[in-house]
Amino acid sequence: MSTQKKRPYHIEAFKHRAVGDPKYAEKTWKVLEHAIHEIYNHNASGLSFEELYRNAYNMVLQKFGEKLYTGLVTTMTSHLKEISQSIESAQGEIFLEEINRKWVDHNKALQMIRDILMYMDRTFIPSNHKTPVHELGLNLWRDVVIHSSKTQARLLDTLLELVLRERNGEVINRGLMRNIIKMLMDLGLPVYQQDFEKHFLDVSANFYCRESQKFIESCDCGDYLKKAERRLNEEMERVSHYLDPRSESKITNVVEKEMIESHMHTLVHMENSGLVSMLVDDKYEDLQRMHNLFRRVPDGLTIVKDVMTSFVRDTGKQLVMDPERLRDPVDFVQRLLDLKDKYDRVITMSFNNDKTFQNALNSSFEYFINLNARSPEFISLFVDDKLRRGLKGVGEEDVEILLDKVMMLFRYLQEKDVFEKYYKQHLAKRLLSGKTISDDAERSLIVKLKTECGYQFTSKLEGMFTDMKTSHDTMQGFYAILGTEMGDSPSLSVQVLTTGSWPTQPSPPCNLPAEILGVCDKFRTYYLGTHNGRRLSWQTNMGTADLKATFGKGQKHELNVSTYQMCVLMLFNSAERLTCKEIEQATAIPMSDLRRCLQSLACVKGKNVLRKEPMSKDIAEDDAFFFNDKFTSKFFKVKIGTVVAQRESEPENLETRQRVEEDRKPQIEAAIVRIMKSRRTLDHNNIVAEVTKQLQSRFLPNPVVIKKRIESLIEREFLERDKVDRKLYRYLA
Amino acid sequence: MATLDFDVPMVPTGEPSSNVGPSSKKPKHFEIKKWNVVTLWAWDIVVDNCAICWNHIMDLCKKFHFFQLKTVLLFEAFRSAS
Repeated sequence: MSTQKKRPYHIEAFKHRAVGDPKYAEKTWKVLEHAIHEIYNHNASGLSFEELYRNAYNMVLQKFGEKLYTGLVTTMTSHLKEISQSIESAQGEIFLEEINRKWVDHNKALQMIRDILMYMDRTFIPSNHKTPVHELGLNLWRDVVIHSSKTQARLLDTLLELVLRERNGEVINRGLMRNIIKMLMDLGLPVYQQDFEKHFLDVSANFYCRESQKFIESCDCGDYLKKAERRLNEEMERVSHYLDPRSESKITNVVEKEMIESHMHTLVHMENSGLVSMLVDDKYEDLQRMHNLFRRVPDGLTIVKDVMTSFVRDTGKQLVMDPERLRDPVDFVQRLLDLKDKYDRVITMSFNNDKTFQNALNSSFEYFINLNARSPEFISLFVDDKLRRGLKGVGEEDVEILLDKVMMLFRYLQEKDVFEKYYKQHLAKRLLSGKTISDDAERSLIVKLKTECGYQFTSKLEGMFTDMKTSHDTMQGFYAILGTEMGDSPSLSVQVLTTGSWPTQPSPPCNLPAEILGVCDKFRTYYLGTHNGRRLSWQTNMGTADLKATFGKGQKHELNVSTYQMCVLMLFNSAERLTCKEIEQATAIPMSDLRRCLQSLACVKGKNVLRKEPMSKDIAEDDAFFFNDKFTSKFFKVKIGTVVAQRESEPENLETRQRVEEDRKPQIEAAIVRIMKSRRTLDHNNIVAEVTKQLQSRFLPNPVVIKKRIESLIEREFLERDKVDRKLYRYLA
Repeated sequence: MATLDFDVPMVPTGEPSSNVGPSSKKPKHFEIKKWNVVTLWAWDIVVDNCAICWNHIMDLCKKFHFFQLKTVLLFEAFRSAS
């Protein structure tokens, strides 16, 4: 029914309004124009949407779209001009509020107008490539209102003024700011950028340039960075409150450039407050802030890293080169560990575990640890101290932590084979004296060393433990079989060591006391009976003995002495007086060892079981020694002359170094042979490179030494020179 | 004083057998209770360097040295048998 009713009306209207009736178009447009006026004048409530829509519809349908569109532009423009004048006449702070209010009105009007002209928007406008109604409204607002000569400059100045006031601590109307900024965004990103953002950034750059200059002159580094951080946070907050999100990176770039990048050298190097001061004083919070801020600028962290590296290297260098530090190896290493702990904490707490800084720290440590050629020895002495007593009573987890730290230092060493040499010496002393606090801790460290450097590196160390175990079993077997025959013989505890696994010095035979020879022969017979094809040699420069001693008033003591000391003391059972010379002849102990031995026995107060004439500290060959009948001690057990591992004197150090160099030769040769066996033919430079590559996990081979080894292998006919090219070598099967 | 008295009569008698007595009864100053000793074992052969790499027989290339060592031992056993 409704349809039927509408259709006749439509047909009737069409028939009635013949094509080309100019009166109709003019009349209809007047109706629409009036409606637009009413809309802008807030009198839209009296309008009939349906009628207006139909009018617009009919105009388009009757080919009057152009007139309609043009009329719209004209009418809207005239209204916006009125609005623009109204805005321009607003005084003071009313200005922004007026813009905002008019903008809201404009949008409402625009919404209604677009709805009325929807048919034109969908048909005429696309066909004729015109600007859609809504967009047209925005464009006109932009061109007529925002870009009017008076408003444009004033709007920008007002916005920037408010930002400045906020930066200076005032509370401003953020809601209003948000609305205005959103208006600019609605007008199109280019409008926002050209009318506000570009200028905002320029003004901000000037602001922060001046402010940073003022701060840099009046603040210390920590305070300055706090202010810079606060400014950054403020700008980010401002963006989140009323600017477009895309502006954040731009404004933060400005702050970063002006407050950080421009002054980062000055900041880092500030005396008493810069990076070095922060590091020295453990200013974790300041360091973290510096890392966070400098990370934002190009090369910022590079500067921080370089300064930190330089400082760490200097600090470390002072530590390892300080003659005073060299007197206490344990303290030396502990300080290295403390230094590493300190910077690890800085990197963890302040530098976000930044890998770049970790690598820089590692290369710094590698640099200065190797400046001191005695670092390998000192690290081994540190381990020795810990495994003798330092780790006593310490839980297993803490032991592992400490050993891991030691491994960290070990990894920095370029001459790991020097460490191995010393470690072997110190381990030998610990094992042979029974002084190690924990076999598990010992083995744990060896496992770590093996993991780090391979089986060959630790095979002899493991052999040492095997020897200890085997010796224990051997002694059990010995006494199980022969225990009943021992009678009054001294007890024997033999550690049978494998030649080559232990860092032993050649031990010239000395004359053992008659009392001990019997049991020694029994053991030798027993051992060689179960291990044929072997020979045993007593190492009299090692070992200890427990002696029962009786003195003048009948008082008894138990003495713990070295093997040499045992040999000396037993002589006094059958002699009243002996000169140094006579003792040497009777015992065959080397004179240098004997002198030290006698000093311990006769010249140490509280331990002088022998008496010496004359009573001097030096020992001459014709000095006389006597049993000290007057010896007294408040202790029943008296330990004489046990020597803990000590840092080597310079000549000993040189000697160890020479042995290390000697040990490197066969390793270099073995590497050369391995390489040549697989390559058959190779030139000199490549051999050197390959050998270095193979061995650098233990030490850095000297190219000159490699050359000598090659010559030696040629002499022994493992290699030969190419007849044409003398730099080319060939492997001989 | 008593000791001195005892000593005085001994001297005038001048008998040698009396002198020997006290000397033999004199206790020892030192007595070995226990000896903790270190000894090295090595192969009981004259030549202890590797003929090929000239290193000590106990050093590098242990497997090879062990093989070579067995050969040397067998050779020496054969020679001593003949």
